[in-house]
Amino acid sequence: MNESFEKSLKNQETEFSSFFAQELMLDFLDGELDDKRAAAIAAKVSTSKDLQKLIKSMERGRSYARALREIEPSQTLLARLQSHKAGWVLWMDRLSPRRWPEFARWTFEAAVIAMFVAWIMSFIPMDKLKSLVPLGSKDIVLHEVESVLPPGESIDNAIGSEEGPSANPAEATQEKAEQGAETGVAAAKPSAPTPTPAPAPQPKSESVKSQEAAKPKGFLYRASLDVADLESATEGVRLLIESLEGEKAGQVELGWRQESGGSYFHFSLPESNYEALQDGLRTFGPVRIYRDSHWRVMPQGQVRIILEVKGSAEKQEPSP
Amino acid sequence: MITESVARTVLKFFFLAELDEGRALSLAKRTIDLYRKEQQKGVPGQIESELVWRALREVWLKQHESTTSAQSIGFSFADWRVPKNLELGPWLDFRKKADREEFFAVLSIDVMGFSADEIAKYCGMSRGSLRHRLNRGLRLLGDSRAEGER
Repeated sequence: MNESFEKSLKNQETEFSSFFAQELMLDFLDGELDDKRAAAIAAKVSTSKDLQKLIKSMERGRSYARALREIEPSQTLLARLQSHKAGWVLWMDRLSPRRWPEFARWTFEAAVIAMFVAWIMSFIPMDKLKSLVPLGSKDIVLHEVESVLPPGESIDNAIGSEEGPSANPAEATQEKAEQGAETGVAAAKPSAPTPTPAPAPQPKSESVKSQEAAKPKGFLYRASLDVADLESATEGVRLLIESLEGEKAGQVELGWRQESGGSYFHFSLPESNYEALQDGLRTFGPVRIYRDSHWRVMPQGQVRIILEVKGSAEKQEPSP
Repeated sequence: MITESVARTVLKFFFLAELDEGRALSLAKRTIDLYRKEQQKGVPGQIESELVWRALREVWLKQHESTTSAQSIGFSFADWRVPKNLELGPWLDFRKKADREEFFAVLSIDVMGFSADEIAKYCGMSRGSLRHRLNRGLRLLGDSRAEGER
């Protein structure tokens, strides 16, 4: 159809059929045809009532279409459309952190930062870092000491040997007896007033010694008091300690009598009363006090003291 | 914010296509959303009218596909200024009888007042096809108008 149509257009002598004339009618009405074609269409229209009817119909349609142009939206409607925002834009506006209450905004920010930090931390090899950082915890030292003790011996026993008598008086007696047997004194003269030798320290491994040297320690005051009358001095010292707010630290009572004949005081005292204690003890007799390092750290403002009171009679009896 | 001219074109097109102001506003909003999206892409050389007409035609085609003729009839235009002596019956009749593309050609060119060259360019059609559809569309509209006058 297109080919024949083109041919008929090119053939200026050929008359247009009604069909072709209908197809070119809009161009004819709009004046878009060249003169020859326009003349041919005009000739066709003048002889065809259908084409005349068609032209009238198209003109009617066109005038009606142009009348529809008069329809206009109200300013309200225009404004509504102009201020329209897309649904997602509205939601973004509503959810914008700028509209949040300050508390919610800060909470959200904190949560985001916390999650970010946690995420970063998950990539850090903490085990390796721990091995690089020297740890000063005493718990670790305790663990190491325990590892070098003979099986079956607890750390409390080891500490007890440092402090003097064992926490349990029966065990302490046993220990003294064993010490005496070793020195050959206690076995021969069980009641002899011999000065209590300091218990032989447990042999320690080099690693433990170095660990202990490296670690910060607490301290313990070890004191000995020589008195003329042991009975009255023991009672006096006990009253003195109690008056200075001293409290027994071990399991034995203040003034516990040793097998060797002396009395034993293991107590803690407010540091502020330490001077008063020294002065008080001097009233009973000569006092020797020295400060000994110890793994146990006392609370701030408290000191721990082990005092042995010996009668002069015991002291005069020389040990072999 | 879109210009008043764009808002008027879009609203008017959909009002005359749907003859229902509520639906017209809804479709116009969808068109504006699409227009803004295209505007954000910022394709060089594209002018405002081209973006508007591309968006408008896309929305209208989708609407045309999803709407049955029964659903599309409506006469709600409280917010519209319609000349008193203007009958909308012939337009409604034409809307039923005309084919989709004929209706689009008449509405966009003879009613909205855009040129065939502009619409053909904006909507990616050949000018000849568009004028051919307009030719047939105007004939149909004239017939509808004549029937209405009788």
